[in-house]
Amino acid sequence: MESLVRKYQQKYRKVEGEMKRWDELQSRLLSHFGSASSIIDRLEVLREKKNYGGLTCVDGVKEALLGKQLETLERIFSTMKDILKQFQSIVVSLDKISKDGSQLSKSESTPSSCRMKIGIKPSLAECVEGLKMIHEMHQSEYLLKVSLISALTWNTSSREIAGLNQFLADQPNISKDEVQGIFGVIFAEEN
Amino acid sequence: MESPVSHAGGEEPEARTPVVSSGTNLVAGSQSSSRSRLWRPAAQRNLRNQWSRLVSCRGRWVSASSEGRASATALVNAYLSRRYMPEMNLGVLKDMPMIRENACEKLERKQELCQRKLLSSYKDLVDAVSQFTKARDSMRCYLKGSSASPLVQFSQLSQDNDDPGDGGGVPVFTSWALPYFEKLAQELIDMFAVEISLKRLIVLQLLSIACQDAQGAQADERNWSIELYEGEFNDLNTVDLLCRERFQPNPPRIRGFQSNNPATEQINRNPTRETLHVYLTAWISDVNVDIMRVDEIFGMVEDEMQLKLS
Repeated sequence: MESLVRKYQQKYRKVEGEMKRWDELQSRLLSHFGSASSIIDRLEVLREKKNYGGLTCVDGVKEALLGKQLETLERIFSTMKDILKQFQSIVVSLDKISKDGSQLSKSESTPSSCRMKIGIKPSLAECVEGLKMIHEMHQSEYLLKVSLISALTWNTSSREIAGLNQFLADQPNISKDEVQGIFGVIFAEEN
Repeated sequence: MESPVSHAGGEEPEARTPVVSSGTNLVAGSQSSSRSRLWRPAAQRNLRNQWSRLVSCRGRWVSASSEGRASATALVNAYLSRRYMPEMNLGVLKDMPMIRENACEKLERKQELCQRKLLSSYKDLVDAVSQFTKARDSMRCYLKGSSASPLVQFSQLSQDNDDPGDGGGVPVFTSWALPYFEKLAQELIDMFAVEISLKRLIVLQLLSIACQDAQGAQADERNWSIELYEGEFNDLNTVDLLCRERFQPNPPRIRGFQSNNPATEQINRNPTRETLHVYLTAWISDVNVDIMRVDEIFGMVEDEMQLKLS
C-alpha cells in the first residue's frame, strides 16, 4: 500500500514537470501574442496612405512595409501554432499519466481499499482523481487556447484582441488553487 | 595541379574550370602554373579577410540600426509628450508654477539630444556600407613586382594592367572564380545602399520635427540636397548613392520599384502620431534588405570556403 502511494507520488512529480513546461510555453505564447497584436494594430495605420507623411514620395513604400509586416505576422502565427502543438503534447502526456494511474489502482487494489486512508497519506482514490482532474483542466484549457488563437487574424479589431489576450492570460480552466490543493493532499507527509 | 585556364563567364559558379594539366607549352606552362600555385593561397587568405570584414560590417549595421531605432523612438515620444502637454492632466501638480513650461523645455532638450544620436547612428550606417564597398574593392589579388623576379609577392593593389588580379579565373577555393565573390558582395551592397537612402529620408523627416519656433529657422534649412553631416556626400559617393550631375543624393526608393519621383522636399514639421508610427515602422523594417538572402549569401560563401566566417 505504501509503495503504491509512492508510485503515485512519482507520477505527480512527472505531472509537476509537465506543468512547469506548460508555464514556460504559456509565457512564450503570451509574448508572441503580444507581438502579433501590435503588428495588427500597426497594419491599420500602415493601410492609410495619408499616414505616410514625408515617405509618400517613395513609390512602393506602402506595399513594402505592409508586406514586411504581414510576413512577420505570418511567422508569428506559425510559431504560435508550434507552441500549441507543444501544449497538446503536454495534454497527451497528462492523459497517459492519468490513465496509467487508474490502471495501477485497478490492478493493485480492491475497490474497498481504494478509499482507505492511513494517517495523513492520501487514499488511492484521491491519487487517481487528482491526476484525472489535472489532465481535464489542461485539456479544456488547450482547447480554449486553440480557439482563441484561431480567432486572431490580421483584421481582428484591437478591442477583440484585448479580450482574447485577457482570456489567454487568465487560463480560466486551470485553477491554481485546486492544483495546489491536490498536491497538498498527495504530498501531505512532506509538508 | 591546376593551370590558369581563363574561362568566359567566370562569374558563374556552375561553370567549373576543368582541372587540366597543361603540357603543351612547358616553359610558359610551368612558370604560370607555379605562379598560380602561389596565387591561390594568397588570394584565399585575402578573400577570407575581406569576407570576415563583410561579416563584421553587417554586425555594425545591425547595431547602428537598433541604436537608431532606440533614439528615433525616444525622439518621437519626447515630441509627442511635448505636443500633448497642454492637454495633459497633471493632477495635483497642475498648480505648480511653470510646471508645463519646464517640462516642455526638458522634453525639447531630450528631443534635440535624440536627434543628434539618431544622426550619429545614421552616420554609422553609412560608414558600415562604405566599408562593404571597400571590402568588395579589395578582393582581387595582384602579383607584386616583376614576373621575372624569383620572389613572388602579392598585393591588393594593381600595379600591372595586364594582371586582372583574378588568377586567370581559376577557382579560388572549391569552384568559384574570384569575380563571383565580388558579385555576391555587390548584391549585399545593393540591398544595404538602397536601404541607406530610405533611412536618410526618415532621418531627414525626424530631424525636421519642429523644436521651437525660434529655432525653426535652422531646421527649415534641412532638405534632401543638403548634407546631414559634414562629409556625408563624400561617404554617399563611395556607396554610389550620389547623383554626380546634380551633386545630391539619389532619391530614396524601394528595391524592386522604380522611383522617378524626386519630390523629396515634402518636409512635415508637425507630423501626426500615425505618421511618426509609420516612420518608426519603416526604420525597423529594413524593407530593402532581404535578410534571408543575406544569410544565404554568407552561408554560401562559408560553404565555398569551408570555414565559418567571424
